[in-house]
Amino acid sequence: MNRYQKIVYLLPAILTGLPVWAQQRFPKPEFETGYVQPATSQPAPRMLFLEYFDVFVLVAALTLATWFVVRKRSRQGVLWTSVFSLLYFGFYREGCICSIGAIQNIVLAVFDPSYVLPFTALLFFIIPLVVALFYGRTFCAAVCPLGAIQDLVAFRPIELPKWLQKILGLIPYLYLGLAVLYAATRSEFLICRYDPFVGLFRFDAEFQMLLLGALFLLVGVFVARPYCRFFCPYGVLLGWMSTFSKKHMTITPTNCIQCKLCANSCPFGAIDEPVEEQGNRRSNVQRLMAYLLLVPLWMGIGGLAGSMVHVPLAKFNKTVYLAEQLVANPEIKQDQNNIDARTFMQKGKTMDELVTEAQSIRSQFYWGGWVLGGFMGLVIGLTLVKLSSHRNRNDYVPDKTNCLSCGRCMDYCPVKN
Amino acid sequence: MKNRKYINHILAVMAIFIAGIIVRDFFVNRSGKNIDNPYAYDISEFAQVDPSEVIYKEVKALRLSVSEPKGIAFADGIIYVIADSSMIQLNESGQLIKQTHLEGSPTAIAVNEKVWLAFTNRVVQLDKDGNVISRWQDYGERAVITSLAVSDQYVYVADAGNRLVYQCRFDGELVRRVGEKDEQKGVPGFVVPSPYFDIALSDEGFLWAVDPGRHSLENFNADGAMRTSWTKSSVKTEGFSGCCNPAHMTILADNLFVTSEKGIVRVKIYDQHGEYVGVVASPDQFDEDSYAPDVCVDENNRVILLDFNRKQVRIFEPLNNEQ
Repeated sequence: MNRYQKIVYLLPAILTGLPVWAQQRFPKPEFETGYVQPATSQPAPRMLFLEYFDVFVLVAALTLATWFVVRKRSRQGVLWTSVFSLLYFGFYREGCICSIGAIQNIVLAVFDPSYVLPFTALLFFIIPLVVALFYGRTFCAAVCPLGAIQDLVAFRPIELPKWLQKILGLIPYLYLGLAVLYAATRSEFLICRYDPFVGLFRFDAEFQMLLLGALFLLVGVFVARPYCRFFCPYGVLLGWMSTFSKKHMTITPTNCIQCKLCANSCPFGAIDEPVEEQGNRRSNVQRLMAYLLLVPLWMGIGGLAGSMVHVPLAKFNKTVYLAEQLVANPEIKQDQNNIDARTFMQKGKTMDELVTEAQSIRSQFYWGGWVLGGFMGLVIGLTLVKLSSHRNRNDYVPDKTNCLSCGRCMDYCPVKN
Repeated sequence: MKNRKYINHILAVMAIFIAGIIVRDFFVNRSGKNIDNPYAYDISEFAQVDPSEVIYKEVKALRLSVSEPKGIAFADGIIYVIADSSMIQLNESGQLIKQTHLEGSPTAIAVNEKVWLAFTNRVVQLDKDGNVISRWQDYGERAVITSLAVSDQYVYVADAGNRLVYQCRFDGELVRRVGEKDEQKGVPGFVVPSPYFDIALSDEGFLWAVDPGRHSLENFNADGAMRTSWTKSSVKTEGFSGCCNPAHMTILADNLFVTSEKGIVRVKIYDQHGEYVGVVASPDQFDEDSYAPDVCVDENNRVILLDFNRKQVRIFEPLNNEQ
């Protein structure tokens, strides 16, 4: 066991001892009658200094991962750092707080002045993005517990057809857009709700969410990191940052010798092969220009489509849903089993006030639908532009946007420092 | 790769499952949709009593023509019920012997040769014809007298407001305060969250007081020091649950305790060591959301309940008369 492995083993052992400092002031009653305590949906609050300790661990893990990827070029180092992150941020911190979910905290803070954004949530959101801007997605490589748990089960990765990757690659953008829309309208934290692994981290979730996590892991045996590549909304932001990174990892430390050994090493299909421009340059440029000009059209179509579905989208806001229910079925007001109706009646609000509030939220969804649809139109338009653009490439290089900096390709490269 | 075709099929099926789970959850459990409340306060499971644990049966229910019953006592074959602003005397057949109009609304009653009544914060002594013999000084605005017990020498007055028991002579002279919180002596005091604070005397004349916040019964000797206590805290039939139980208590022959609980309304018997013996009346024998019935016992070990909701005196006798 080398020095780094010792550190990696030792740290979780020390850190998992920390909870003994905290004691629940009023322990849950112990029933002898077989009564089962309902599962809580959020972990217990944490002392402030421990929240900052989490930020410290995030920075330390990111620094270590970046060093392993960019300087040390060690796949082993990345792997063990990800194991540590899985233990700490996954099983010990129970998947909360996480940078992916922090998107919603940020959005809510922007749109709801009454919401106080925890500073640590802001740090969890920003720090991985800043690191990605300089060094690529080292957060995905070894710090994100969701990525780590999937990476560990990628036993027999297969390469998906490019067209399928492109289509599935649109899902994270849609997911990001919907998550922002629902957080901005104070409707739902979608990312947390459909985090497939948080139930596994907490050993406590509804059956269907555990099943969802298990399915993702099963798919992950053959399709490496399916959640990261085809769902993760934070991956979209990291990809944008990473595209501009100057010190992104390279497959080879010096000059590529074109041995092609790395070509099939990437389970994420994130290595761009050498390519020369094909066809007539003039017609290629014309096609590119045509696609560029079509981008506003895509945005317009997307925006219109988004605005048209604002009514069904708004149904998932509970105020809107309650108003619709009470207008359609006024007898629900007297239904003692309907918690929302009871709460509304006890608040003393009038139906007019409720309907006005619901209309206001629906209006937010209308404009949000325009923005979401326009955003998806932009993404589709730019994807087509990218597909139609050609750049000559002489070497095998990582696709900075989609490369997760896992370091597998470095292992395959015969050129060493 | 070998078997790629099969893997593709498996992946497609799993992808459909993933999409299905997310879409189904989004629609079925959507925000605002009426779902079962996992935190609903449901104690129906604990209201079930095994029939083999029931050791009494109801033999009589005497209807009262009153609007607000307050308390019950038994002495010399007569059932005394206080209700509204009156005291009613009945025999065990339900025949009205006497009804006495009182000067106010009584809150507690005890009977020996005389009748002792509490009116929130003061005690009045009457003869059995209802004539006032003496009126004691009141115990102040904080006092809420919830129970009285009378021995050969003393009258014990349970004050839920001040969370203590007054030991008094028959003329009202205060002898001592029993169970009063005293931090210097390490006496924790009674925990009485609501006006349910009952007392009774054992065969030997020792005071037993309910400590409802602790689900305990505490026993004091003549000088006010605690002799012993027992606690039974459980939602199950053999224990007490909720904020303050037992709400009422009395003592049978052989120092068996009869307890009456609110919340899950039930009447039970415990032996002199606090071990659960059985059930007199199970929750299904009371109306929904009933108050805990007040209890007293007659010389034949019959348990007499004052059902506040049905406005009835209900008499229970042992299934096995050796009980």
